[in-house]
Amino acid sequence: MSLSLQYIIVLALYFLAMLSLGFWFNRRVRSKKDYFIARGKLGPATVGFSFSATQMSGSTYMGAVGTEKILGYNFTPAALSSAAAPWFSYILLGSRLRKIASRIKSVTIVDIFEARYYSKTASLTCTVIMLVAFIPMIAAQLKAAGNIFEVLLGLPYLAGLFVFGGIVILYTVLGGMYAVAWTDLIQGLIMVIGFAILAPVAVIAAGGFSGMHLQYAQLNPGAISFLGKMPAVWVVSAFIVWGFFQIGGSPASVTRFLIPEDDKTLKGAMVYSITFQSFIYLSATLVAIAGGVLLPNLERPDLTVPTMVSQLLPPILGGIIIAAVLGAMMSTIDSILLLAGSLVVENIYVRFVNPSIGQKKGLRIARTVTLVIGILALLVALKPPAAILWIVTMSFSLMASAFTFPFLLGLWWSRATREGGIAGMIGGALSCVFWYILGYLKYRSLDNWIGGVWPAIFGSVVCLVLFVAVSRMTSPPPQEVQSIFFEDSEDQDKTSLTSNS
Amino acid sequence: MIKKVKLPLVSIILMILFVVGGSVMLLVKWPPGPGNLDWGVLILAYFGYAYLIAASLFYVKTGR
Repeated sequence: MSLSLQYIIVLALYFLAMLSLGFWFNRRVRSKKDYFIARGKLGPATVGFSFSATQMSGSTYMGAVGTEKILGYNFTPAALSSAAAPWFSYILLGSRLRKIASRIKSVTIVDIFEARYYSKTASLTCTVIMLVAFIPMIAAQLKAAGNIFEVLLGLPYLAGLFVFGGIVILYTVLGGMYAVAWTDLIQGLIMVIGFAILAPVAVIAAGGFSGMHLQYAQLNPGAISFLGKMPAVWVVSAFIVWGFFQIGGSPASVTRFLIPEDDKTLKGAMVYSITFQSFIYLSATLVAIAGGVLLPNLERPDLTVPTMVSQLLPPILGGIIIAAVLGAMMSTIDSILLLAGSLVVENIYVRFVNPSIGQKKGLRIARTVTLVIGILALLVALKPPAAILWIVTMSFSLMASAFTFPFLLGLWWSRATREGGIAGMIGGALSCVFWYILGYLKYRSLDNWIGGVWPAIFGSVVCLVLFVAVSRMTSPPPQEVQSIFFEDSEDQDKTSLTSNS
Repeated sequence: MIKKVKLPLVSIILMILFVVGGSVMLLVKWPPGPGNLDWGVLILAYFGYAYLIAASLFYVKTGR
């Protein structure tokens, strides 16, 4: 039996399991609120793994490992920082968002923006920025999956695209947040098993921990410590961006804070997320350095993991790791798809077209919209235009620039105003795009920026300055907003819990 | 009973320490350590994860 066929059998079983979960949870979804956030219905492990699996896309296992193979320990601070992302997000946003979401019965993260900045303009700005970033992001993940099918399994790109895309879209449409979170948990566990096998095998094959580093230093001397290949500003910026700025850069993950009904579940989820991400990024570093020793001349660095899998592991184990890589893509696509669907239904359709929609009709529309967005992304992935690559490259930085401080200060600074929030979001997003354009004009590349300063940092600084200055110059928020967001009442929380259940 | 929102101050200090301390560590020239790596890489790239897990457990236990 050929290697490709053995991989295909493992993947077919895996896909079947994911689809079964979609059908299984289809029966438990009774309302659009169930469908979009499943509030109070998921435990700490499911919420924690779902948060992390959403944050770590297929690029964690493909592009990021390839980059770390080349840049070595110049890139490792970004890996450590990525593992710290849940720590920042859960503590600085999680508990506040959970309480407020429960209080105002919000279904999407944008509902909270609307309540905090008491403005439909704020929520519409937020929705538009997210949707502009989301559809190309889904299309890019679908395209990457299609490429894996083509390169590793020898299947036609279109067949891979439609099989993979069809399965993710179907289980998301059927099972909503239940299916998304549970498949994320399973995909996360497969990632852990996959890297727990691959990392030690790769390090041993590369000569053991010390031997591997000795060889790596000879092959790639600038990459054996933090500085050497990249400018110091770039390394420090990467360290800051990939941790703290995930607060605004990953709204699909942050949506998980709306699920738990108590702080205990949320805190448990945080421990799962941090432990999971720490394990994955630590293992990824070892795999990347081993890859630098074992495959120094690999033409496409993003294929480091799949190539090592095919060379070092038996087909069944290799198939599990390929499933983990595809699973990482699936878990990002399903979460973004669900969030995009919820934004269109809750923050556009319900808000502006039909505010009195019933639960059954709402659920039907939610499923239809999710399906349409999925198909749209699939069509874009058939032949992605060049502009999409720009948007995908920029999307994380764009959202980090627009949302990090409006999220954070909106929850902790009572003086933040509607005008400050809107000015910060728009100013941050535009400055980020401006910084990319300046970098492109100077270096003809989207990955090089003036002075090595990452666009997310530049955009966020502009956002922060505008946000604080405009808030200071305008009238404070209404008392009602201040009491919802800055006064915790035990009775209030208990009442909202009862009414939600 | 109404209570004002309280910042998790200890965790915020630990976060600042992580970001500022980590950034400074990236810029320092470190002496060679075990495993053919320098001490900075060993501490930050390998033991930094233990700091994150310990800090998150601290927050879970104390809420601060």
